[in-house]
Amino acid sequence: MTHLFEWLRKLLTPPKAFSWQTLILLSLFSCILSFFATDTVQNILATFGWIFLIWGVAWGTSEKPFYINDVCLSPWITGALVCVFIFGGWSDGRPSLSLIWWPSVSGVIATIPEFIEKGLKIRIPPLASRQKIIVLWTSHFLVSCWIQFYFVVQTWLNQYPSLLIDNVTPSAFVVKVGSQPPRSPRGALILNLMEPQLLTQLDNQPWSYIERWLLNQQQQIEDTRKLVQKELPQAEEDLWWRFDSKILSSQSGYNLQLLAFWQGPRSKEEVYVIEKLCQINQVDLEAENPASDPSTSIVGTFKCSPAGSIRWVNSNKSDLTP
Amino acid sequence: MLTPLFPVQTILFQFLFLLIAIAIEGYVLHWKLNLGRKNSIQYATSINLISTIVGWLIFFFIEGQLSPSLRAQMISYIFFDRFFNAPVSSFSSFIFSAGIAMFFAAFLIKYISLDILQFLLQNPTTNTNNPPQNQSRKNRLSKFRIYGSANQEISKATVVLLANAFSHSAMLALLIVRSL
Repeated sequence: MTHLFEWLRKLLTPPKAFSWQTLILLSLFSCILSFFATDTVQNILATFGWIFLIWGVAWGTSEKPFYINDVCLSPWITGALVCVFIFGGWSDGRPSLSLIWWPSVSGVIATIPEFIEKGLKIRIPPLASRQKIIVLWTSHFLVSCWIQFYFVVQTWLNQYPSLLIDNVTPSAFVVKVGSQPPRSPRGALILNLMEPQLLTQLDNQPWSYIERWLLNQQQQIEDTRKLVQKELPQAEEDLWWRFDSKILSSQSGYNLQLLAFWQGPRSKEEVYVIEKLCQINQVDLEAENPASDPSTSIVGTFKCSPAGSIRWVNSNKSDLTP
Repeated sequence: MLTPLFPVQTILFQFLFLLIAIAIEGYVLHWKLNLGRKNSIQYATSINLISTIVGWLIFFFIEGQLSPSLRAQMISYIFFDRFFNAPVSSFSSFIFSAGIAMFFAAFLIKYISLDILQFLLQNPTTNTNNPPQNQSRKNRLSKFRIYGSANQEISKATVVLLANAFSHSAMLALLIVRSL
């Protein structure tokens, strides 16, 4: 532990007044001061702290450059600091501008020495180094484009979350890396969210009310679905979900079949469908409660099983019996 | 939430295509324009990198402007290598015309960048620089090159077109091999 402190102290003591160590110490000083300050002064002090830190690191790493296999890494460190300063942190979830611009900024920083000659004057770089500068800038900007493409794909997946269910193996552009927890497509989510709504509408209601409801079934389910979709965050892929419902009679009542068809980007020619089965059963309360009113004694119960997994069907087949 | 889809193949394929294109175009530039081996490879590197970058910028711009149905088709092509809900013929003709448009756009960008590069690096075509060592070559290739500055511009365009054609054919061959 003391070794570490000794090494740090040796590294950071300035050999003369104007050197990179002073700058780093100045930036530390500004940071500490900014803790005790209020709004505007705090911002100014923090900015100065950053500027000193960047300047100090740039100077220090150019005097003692980091090399891995003959590739100089010091502009990348300075570039990272500049990007974090200008664009904020490396947060994922939204396109991280600082990560995207990091290679380009590092490339520019690596070529800054060509633009400055002795005495800190700005010059147009000599012929001999211009070719190197152009190749450096363009190759680093290309790496930035690649990183930006990654974030574009991420934006697409935010709008089309159901695509992750599907098989991305035939793709010539992307590959699925790592194992993820099994996800359910958005259609299954919507169907499952419709269940509590339908429950309040249909459970323990008089049978006559249920029969009237079932006459208008398509419209009722459509309205419920629209309500549910409004609650969820907007996603562009909703344009390709088609919902349907079917009533089938069973011996104790009716079976309500809710269907969600995915007709958007998919890996096969066929369409896939998710279905959710609900039972509406007739229950006679008169047996338990003989004194109750006959017209309301027959009620219906509503019970659903969770939405099933995806099933590929031929898109021409419109009749889907379970 | 970190997306688990990484564009690994995009990066690898593009890197491979760049290497091949730089090698082929460097050779063609050296052969036809007599620029010197190192110089022509460096020119080829720069113009290929610039045209790739312009291609990416155009892609990012177009992606932001697409309507939802077109964007869904593009996503379908990128993720699943097919188009959906559509007759196959209309989209394969679309891909064919897109390929031709990309070829000519690449040629245009490369020609303009070569001009700008030669201006920035102040290296005129070596026809005017090394007359003695090129005598026999000049006599042999005189049907490709007519002396005079105006016609040198024509020959440079032809050479860039030729280099572009060679490199794109190599890329097409690789794509065909890959899809086999």
